[in-house]
Amino acid sequence: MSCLDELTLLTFADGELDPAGAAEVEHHLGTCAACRTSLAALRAEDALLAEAVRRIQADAVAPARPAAQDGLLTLLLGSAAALLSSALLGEAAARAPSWLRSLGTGTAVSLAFDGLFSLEDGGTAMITYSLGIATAAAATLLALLVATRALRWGSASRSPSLLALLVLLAGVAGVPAPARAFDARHGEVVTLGPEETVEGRVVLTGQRVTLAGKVHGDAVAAGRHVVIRGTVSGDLYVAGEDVELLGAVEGNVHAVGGTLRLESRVGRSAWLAGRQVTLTPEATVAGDLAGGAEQLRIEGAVGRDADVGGRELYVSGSVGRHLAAWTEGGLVDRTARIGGDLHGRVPRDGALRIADGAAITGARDVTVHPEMAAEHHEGRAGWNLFRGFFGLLAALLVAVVAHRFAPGAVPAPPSDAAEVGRWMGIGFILLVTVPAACLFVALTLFGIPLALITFAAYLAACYLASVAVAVLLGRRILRQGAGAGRVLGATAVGWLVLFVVGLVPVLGAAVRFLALLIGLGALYATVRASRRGVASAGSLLRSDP
Amino acid sequence: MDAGDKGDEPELVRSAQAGDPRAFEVLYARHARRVAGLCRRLLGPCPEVEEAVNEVFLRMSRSLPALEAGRPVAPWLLATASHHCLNLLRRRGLERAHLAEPPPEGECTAAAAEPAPLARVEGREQVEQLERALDALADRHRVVLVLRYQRELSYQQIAGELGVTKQNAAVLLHRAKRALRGAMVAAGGPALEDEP
Repeated sequence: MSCLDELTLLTFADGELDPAGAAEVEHHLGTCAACRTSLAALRAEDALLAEAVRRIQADAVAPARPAAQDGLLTLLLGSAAALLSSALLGEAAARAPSWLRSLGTGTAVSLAFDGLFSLEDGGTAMITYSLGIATAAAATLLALLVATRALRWGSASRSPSLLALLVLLAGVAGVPAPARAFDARHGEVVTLGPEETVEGRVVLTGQRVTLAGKVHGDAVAAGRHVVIRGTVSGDLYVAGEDVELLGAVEGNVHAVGGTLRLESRVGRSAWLAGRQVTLTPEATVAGDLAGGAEQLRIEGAVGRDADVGGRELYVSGSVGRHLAAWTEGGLVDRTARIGGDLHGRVPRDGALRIADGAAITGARDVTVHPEMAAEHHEGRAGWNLFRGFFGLLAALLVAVVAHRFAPGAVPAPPSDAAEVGRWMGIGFILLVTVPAACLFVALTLFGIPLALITFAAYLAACYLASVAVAVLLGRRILRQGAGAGRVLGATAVGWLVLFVVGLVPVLGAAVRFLALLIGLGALYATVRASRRGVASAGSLLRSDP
Repeated sequence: MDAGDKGDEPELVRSAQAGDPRAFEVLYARHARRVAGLCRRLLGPCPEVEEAVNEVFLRMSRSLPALEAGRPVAPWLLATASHHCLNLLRRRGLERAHLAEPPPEGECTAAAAEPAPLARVEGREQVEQLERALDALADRHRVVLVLRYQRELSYQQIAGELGVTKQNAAVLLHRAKRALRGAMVAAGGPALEDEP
């Protein structure tokens, strides 16, 4: 008789074979060592599965009833901890020495400008930028982790609500710290009158914003119409549809506007971006100028270098050192004075005209790049490379930290397409409602710091969402389960794929947007599921025949 | 759920039948975990688990008058839970036709290439891995394993639950085990025993 197949052995082992069959099997077993071995292995497996299932069952979920409260509590605790950590970070930042502070929020904004408009600086900028994001994400993770642990401790000692209250109180007490740091004004018409003097940072937001007084510190102004008439001793950050800068700024100017007119004296450098950007003849920028606009006019004086890009460019003022210009059509007029070289990058010959009277001390070097006309982002290739590299490092760091310290926070792969759809829906709702809620909360004075912190946490969550999607995608591609130690590989693969796809002009943006939605939804689902206690389980291997 | 606190179950059932909500609460607290575990296993990781547990206890509250106070509640609850979950799975596309796989013909010769029986699942991580592998199985395979090992049903009972023949149940169980082994191997699972 030939050897027994596994089905027969299995049925025999389970005692489910009919008596005749069982007798036959027993007879064969008496003569065949191989089948005896197989039978022993099957019996061992049987015992093992029974035992393992018992253990899984012992770990299984508690009933769902208290889950809703648990989730809410965690959410509260998590936000409170995030709030507290942000408050502490804000306070620490305010007391840090200036060189350290220069790595903080102020520079983050200028770094964004750097990245967009001063491409050579992209490298250093992106290092700090990515590190900043990674730090923020790590802080948020830590806060969530602390909250989760605290919750467990709390339920053990049967006083979770008391604990929540304490953490909340601590968080709320921490809130005024960043609030102290600046004078914020908000409304339809916001004016800082000529007679007013503000010590420290001032933030003005509204439909019509006028800054006519003196600010000893930084000034931030955002609104539909923004006019800066006064003097600012620190840096100035402005955003608006219609921006006029008339006063004096001793620090840097960062300005974004539909129409942007700079008539000020600027003590240091200026980063300007907009549809129409004009440096009037009265304007002087002591440092560098970095500008990008559809129409850019430099009629005033720039002390050092000017790096500018504009579809239409007009230069009639003076540049202390080099002028680097990317343009599709420009004129350097006869009144222009350039202390160094003129580097021009144009899509076709003759696109940058230099009038006869123009004084250029250094070289005139205008190169033709036909691809510019087709691809405006050509100059960003180097920046993209840096962004890719350091973004990847940051993502890996976040993934490893999350996997090591909060494995439950790494989302489980979706069980089916419907789940991905659900995640997208949740992600969309979160994406839309959180900023809207922040906006509503920010309408009250007390709510402003709360809204800012929530928004910061929201940005961090968006970043974490992209990492989460990278991990999920990587695992999908590598066909991995959620095993330990492989998270690095999965993250790297997923992140790189997303990054490369993200570089594709239109499709990339769509994919990134969808990835953000999915990631946010997945994070939300994970947080919810982990609170419910349903062990998040991988269904990647699910392969329906 | 412990043996120690089962002694008062008949009284609890009687109190619940008499309309005492607290007795019902106690019964719920005592068995919800196990019912949830079974539903979670049968359905896999999905949001319906919570609803399924609620549904089972809702049915229990409706069926209270018919319950025999002297008999333990757990078997009734588990049977109801698996009926309900199987119905849910059928709605999800678990077809009877899928369940009734034809018996293998001449398949045993290929058995050498199949993954060998699992040799050990030790430690938390491996148990978790097994759990994930279970969740990752096709519904019909997961269900049969759960019925066999969690509910400890015989082949005949499994066949009854699934509405197939006993022979189909055996084949299904065999296939499910092979799928599980495959999933564990794919997940880089515990060492497999080739020959002891």
